[in-house]
Amino acid sequence: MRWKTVLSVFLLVVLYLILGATVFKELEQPYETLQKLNILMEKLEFLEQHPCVNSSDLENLVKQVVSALRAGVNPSGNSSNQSSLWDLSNSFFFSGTVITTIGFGNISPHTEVGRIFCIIYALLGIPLFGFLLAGVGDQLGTIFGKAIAKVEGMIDKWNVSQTKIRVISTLLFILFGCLLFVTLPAVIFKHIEGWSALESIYFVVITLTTIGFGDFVAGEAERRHHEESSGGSQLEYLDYYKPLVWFWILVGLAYFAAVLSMIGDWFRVISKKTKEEVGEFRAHAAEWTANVSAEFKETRRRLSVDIYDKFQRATSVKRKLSAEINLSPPINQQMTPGKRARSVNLGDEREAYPYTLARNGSLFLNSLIPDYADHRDMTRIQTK
Amino acid sequence: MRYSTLLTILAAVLLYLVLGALVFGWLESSREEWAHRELLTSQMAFLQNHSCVTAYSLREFTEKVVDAIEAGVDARSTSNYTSRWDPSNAFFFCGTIITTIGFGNISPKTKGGQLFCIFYALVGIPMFGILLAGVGDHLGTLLRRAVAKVETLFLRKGVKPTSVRIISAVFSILIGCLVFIAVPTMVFQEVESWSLLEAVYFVVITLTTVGFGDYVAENRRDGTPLYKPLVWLWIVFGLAYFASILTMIGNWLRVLSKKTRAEMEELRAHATDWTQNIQNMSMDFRIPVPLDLNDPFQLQRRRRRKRHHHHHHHHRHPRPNTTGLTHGISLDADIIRENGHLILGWPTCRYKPASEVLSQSRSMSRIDGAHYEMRPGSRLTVGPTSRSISRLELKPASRAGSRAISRSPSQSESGSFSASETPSESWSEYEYESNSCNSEDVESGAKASRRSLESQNDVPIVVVASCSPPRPSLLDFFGENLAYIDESSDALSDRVKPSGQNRQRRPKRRSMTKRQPAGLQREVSNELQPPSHPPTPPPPTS
Repeated sequence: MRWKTVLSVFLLVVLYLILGATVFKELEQPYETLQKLNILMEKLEFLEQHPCVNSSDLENLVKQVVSALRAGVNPSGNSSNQSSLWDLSNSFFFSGTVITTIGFGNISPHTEVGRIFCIIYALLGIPLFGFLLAGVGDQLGTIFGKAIAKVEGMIDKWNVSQTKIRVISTLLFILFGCLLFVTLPAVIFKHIEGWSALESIYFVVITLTTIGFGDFVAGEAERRHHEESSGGSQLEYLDYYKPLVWFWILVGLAYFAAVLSMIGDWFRVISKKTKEEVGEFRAHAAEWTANVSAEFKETRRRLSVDIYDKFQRATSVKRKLSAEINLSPPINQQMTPGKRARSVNLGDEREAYPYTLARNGSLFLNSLIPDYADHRDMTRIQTK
Repeated sequence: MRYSTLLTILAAVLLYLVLGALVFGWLESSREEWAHRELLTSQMAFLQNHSCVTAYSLREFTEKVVDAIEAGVDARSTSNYTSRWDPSNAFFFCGTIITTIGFGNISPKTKGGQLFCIFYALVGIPMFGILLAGVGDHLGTLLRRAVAKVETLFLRKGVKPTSVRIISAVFSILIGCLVFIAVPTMVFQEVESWSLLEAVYFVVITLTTVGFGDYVAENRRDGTPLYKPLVWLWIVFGLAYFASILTMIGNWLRVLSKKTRAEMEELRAHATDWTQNIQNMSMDFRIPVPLDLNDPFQLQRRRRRKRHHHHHHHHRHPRPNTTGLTHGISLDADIIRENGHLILGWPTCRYKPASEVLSQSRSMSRIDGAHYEMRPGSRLTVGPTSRSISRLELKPASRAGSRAISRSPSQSESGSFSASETPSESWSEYEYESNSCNSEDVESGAKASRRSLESQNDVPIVVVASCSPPRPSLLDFFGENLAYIDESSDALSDRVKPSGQNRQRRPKRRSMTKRQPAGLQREVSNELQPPSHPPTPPPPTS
């Protein structure tokens, strides 16, 4: 890839970031302000209801709550129902988020040894998971390829053009994939986690693109609900729920990698078409320039031809005049008194001589003076 | 990629996850309990110091604080209100989206923000992928040029190419670590007031795009405005570098897996050799069994029939193009059998005595009612043998399809081939015992089969010796043989003499067998076909 292409893509990305920054700022800042005011009101209300508490004491309490949240402890639950964040199920799920590079961040290592192990674990685990993802992607590609081939075979019977067949098959691939990997999981999460439709789809996309903000995490709400209500009615989900979520993430990541790759290909196609249009514009401009220069040359050629023709005519007239002047002396020399036959011939020549002069004179005058009236006068003189 | 390889990688990943889960659980549980205890202690202290606050109201307030924090508000500071969604933070947040890092320290909370985030990510991630590919190409080019210069320097100094490659690899890794890990680590230590481990942890978690969000380069000191753009630029180039590092680690894993496969193949080959040795030993152990039988002559005839049936059945199946010890042994056995006929040395009378011998034996079976009754029994015994052979042949086909390693089908087929060879060798060994009565001379299965073939050749040799009147002499020979069996054990002592004469001639035959070319062997194998066809009706015995 050339430097120019890299720079252009870089500028495009920066422009895209600025656009996104503007939109997010406009969307999220009012909500943040509202929430900020709410917490202030809560604090003031708490201070009014309990006069023995100082403002600094309250701030210290809030800091402790914040630090507890950072440490991964849920401060709002009862101590007796506290379930560990780092049991086998949660640890397994956390390890999965590490090697898939999702990294929700709802739980993260806080000990030094845990962090050192996390560094090494990530560096080794991410390539290993890359192999698995490549394999799953191959299998998915094979399955979808066969399905698309069948669909195209069916569509061929309808006598549709190849381009439309490809477009239709691509759309079917996207729709089926979205149905299987986005819509179906979103419905399940909505039912189990208690999220709204938008929140479920949001979680699905943020997870499968490996962004992983951690504001919504599958299984997290379940754990909190279990802590709040000591009833064990919903414990059934925890047994196979998280393994299923992880398996969905595995297969969904492969599908989303294909989708993102497809979108990247679309970008390349669009950029190529743009280049082609620019090329056409340049060709058109070049053609126009060529036309203009051609017309200019044609005009010059015509002017030069006209001048050449006139000059050539003048030259021919001069030659004829010089030729007639040369004929006069030999006639005079040939008039000897001894030969009558020659005198008769000379007489004929004399009659012819003024005639030719008249002709040449008329031509000469016609060329020099194009007036028609003058031409008439010369004709009358000749007749007289 | 094949299913077996995919399943292997899946198993490796699951094992890796379980390992990581155990380690993380073991490391982090204690700190979690400690943090929880700290929280409870602080809450109890707070309640004791302020008597007007009840436990219920404290819990209610705590829940509200938690909700506020989850809503994205930093509930600690009240005096200085700074929005998290200022242009700088918003820009940085968008960068974390398209790079798929996703710290999560701030995230969209409104419906519009979440909806926009979905489409923004789907479009931005491929775009950033293209940029990353371009930057990666150029970084790779620059790095290769630097490494090439260093390699030329070392080569001029007279260092070995292998060590030059190792030095260049280490050099490139060190440069990358210095530029993308060490320098940013020091910068973050200075600006963010983190410890060394925290800074390194943040660098690795960011550049691998895991992005937990527990540490984020937030520039809390409100320092230079260039800080966040520089951080983002470091992320762009660092991601490209880390992608190459992860690719290199992936290649190392592939090399390790290939070596492991090679060792597994060697282990399988060794196991196959051991299995073949066991089979040979079992064949040796079977030799004494026929001595216990009462009527060796009748059993000899039965084994001859079974051997012939098996021989015909064996020729019908094409031999697989495989290499292995067992196949080599079987090839040697076939060569010896073929050479047995070549040893005759009398071309004019080469095949007549063999065919006549077969016809005589069959006519004998037809004359005796007892032998005629044994025919269905022999057929029944041959049937399951052929069925077992066919079953053995079916299994390697399915195994070959399922296995990823190319060697295993040939080995499994050779195993089945050796299994099919075992009963015929045991039959031939029995015939050898009944003829020569010298069980002590047997050394191994192959040698036993060779000697049995040589003992079979004794009969046509004797017949050939009296070849001038062939038919009357053959009839007389069998008549004498029957007379010997009917009489006492003196007949066996008389038979020992011709076997002694045959032993004197053995070394010559062995030397001749070694000298025979392959072409003649093939001709002999082709000429073996006539005995398989039903012979012409024999002349009357009287």
